[in-house]
Amino acid sequence: MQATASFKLTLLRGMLAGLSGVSSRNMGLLERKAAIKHAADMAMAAARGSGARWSRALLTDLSKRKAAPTGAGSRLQSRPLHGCGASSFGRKFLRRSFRERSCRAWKRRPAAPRGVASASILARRMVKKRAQVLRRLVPGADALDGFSLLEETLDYAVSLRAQVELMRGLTGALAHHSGSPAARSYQETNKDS
Amino acid sequence: MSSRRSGSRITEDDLNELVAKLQSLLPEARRRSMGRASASKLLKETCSYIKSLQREVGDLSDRLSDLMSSLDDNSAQAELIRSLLR
Repeated sequence: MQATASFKLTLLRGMLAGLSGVSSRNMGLLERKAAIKHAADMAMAAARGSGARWSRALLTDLSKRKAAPTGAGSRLQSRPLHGCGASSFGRKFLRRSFRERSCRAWKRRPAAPRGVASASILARRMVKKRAQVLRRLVPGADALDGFSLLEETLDYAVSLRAQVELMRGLTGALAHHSGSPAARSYQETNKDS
Repeated sequence: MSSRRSGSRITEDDLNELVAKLQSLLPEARRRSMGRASASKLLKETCSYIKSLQREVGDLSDRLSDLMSSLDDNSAQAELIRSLLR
């Protein structure tokens, strides 16, 4: 599964624009690290646009933070992104208790046959904690379940990989041009890639 | 974005197609380590893969930050890079 060429192009443009914005401002090292990550995520979400739940959630979340976060603000960046708020608490609680009830009911059944996953087995296993983890990892997915969750996950992962590949390329290009110690150490550790 | 074929009913085909896509998303090494494909393993590998990608974005952001700050020191190369970024 690959991101489309147009997505990658839009991503590249957005990333370059974001990075040039960061480089034109004077800021401390930590601030710049946070600003670059912010710009990279913004470029990824903007390239996807409003067509996916994760990109809408990410755009909302990122616009709430300032473009150049302070020390206090950058703490937010290490938390997984999902929609928070009093209104979603009730939904999460209901879903959790529903999952616990259906989990208990499922355990009483005889063990599912191993081997090829049929649609019914996959559907049942969706209520297990793997789905919970996915909901935390994928932005805006905390209200999704089953098929929708998988669709959103796939879409997000494809875009995320494109973001990583682009940043690898940019880092490599900059390291190649720069003669700094930072660049040399990057080139050393990435000789075979 | 939806891969569903008819209305709102999800067919077995839709599900199998989605599972196949998720499998093909994983890099070769992870796919091999999964062994016998199961829904649970696929989800586990997908979670792990997404986490590692997110971590890599953070690492690459740090790298880029270091590299960009070093541009200020060397004017000839810095001007070249800055012109690329403009």
